Amino acid sequence: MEKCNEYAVTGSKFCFEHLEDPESYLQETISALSDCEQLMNFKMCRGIFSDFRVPCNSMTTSKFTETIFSNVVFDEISIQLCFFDFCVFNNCSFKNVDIRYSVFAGSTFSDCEFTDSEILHVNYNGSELKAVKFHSCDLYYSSFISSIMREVSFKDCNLKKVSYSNSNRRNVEFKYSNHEEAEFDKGDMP
Amino acid sequence: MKLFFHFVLSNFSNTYILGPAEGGNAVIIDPGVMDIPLLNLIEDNNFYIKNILVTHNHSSHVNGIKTLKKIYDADIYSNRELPFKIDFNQIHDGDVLHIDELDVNVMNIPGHSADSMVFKINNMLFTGDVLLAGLIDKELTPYYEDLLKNNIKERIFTMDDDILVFPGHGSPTTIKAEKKFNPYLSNI
Repeated sequence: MEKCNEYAVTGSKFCFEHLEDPESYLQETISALSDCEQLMNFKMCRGIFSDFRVPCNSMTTSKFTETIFSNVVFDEISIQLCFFDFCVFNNCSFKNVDIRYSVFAGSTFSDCEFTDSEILHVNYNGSELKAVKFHSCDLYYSSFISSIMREVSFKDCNLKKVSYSNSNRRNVEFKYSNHEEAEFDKGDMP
Repeated sequence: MKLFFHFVLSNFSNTYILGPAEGGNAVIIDPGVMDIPLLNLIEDNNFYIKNILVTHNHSSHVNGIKTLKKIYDADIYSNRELPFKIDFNQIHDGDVLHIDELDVNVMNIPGHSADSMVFKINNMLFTGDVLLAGLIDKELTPYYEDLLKNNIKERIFTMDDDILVFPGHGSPTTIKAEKKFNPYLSNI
């Protein structure tokens, strides 16, 4: 087997694409996710989830690189130290979630909603966001460095120490939000 | 292994604890403060702090060590003396520390400070203030900025893209994300 560069934080030996039968593994994974309340040290690379409600209460130290999530509901979940780097989120819901110290760098979000949520120390650097809502969220110390935003709404949010450096923003609103110590340098916002 | 982080609000720095899933001897990296939530994190997971790794000796990364040492009989690993008098094991570039079941690869990456150390443990890289998500130290002189950028290019960006980066401040990241999106490093 050729060398695989995909690692979990800890845990599994194989990534998704190095399995003999990735499709059946995906079904097993969805089934396993449906049965567990806490997901820990889980790993997936280039998986596909659609029309799915994440049933577990919490995810920690897990990695979902380049995974596609379409119509996935993440409501009421706690996510800590997880890596969703270079993923695609399409029409996903994050309601009343607690996301801390996690990575969405390089991911694409379209038609997604984050509402009534704690999103602390979260890395959205290089992400592309289109028609995304952050309403009544605490985004303390999160970062959107080098991101591209179109029709993004931050409403009634705490944006303290949030960085938008080097980001490209069009039709982005920051209504009723706290920008104390937020960074907008080198950005492009007409 | 289990990895935990603790945010030090007083100086906006990150502390990390790495220990066995079932509890036991654990490693703490950059204890910038020793407060009740950090103590609870250690005790609730049945950890005993046996080793302390210091990325650099700035107060925001070491101020919790004195209190920590009153509770746990831990060995300290640092490149330089700490701001207060305390015994420590001096580490150097290229060292490999065998701590419990972990191999810790030690790299000296000067720029932010002369004693800046980066620790690689399995697929995790604890970078202190050498490399942050989307940032490097913005207040360096041109010489130290070049030194830091060259070191990052030659010693960190040559690692696998999917190495997980845990910095001393801010959110975690990956090597691939920093190569692509860090505006201070995109042209090196």
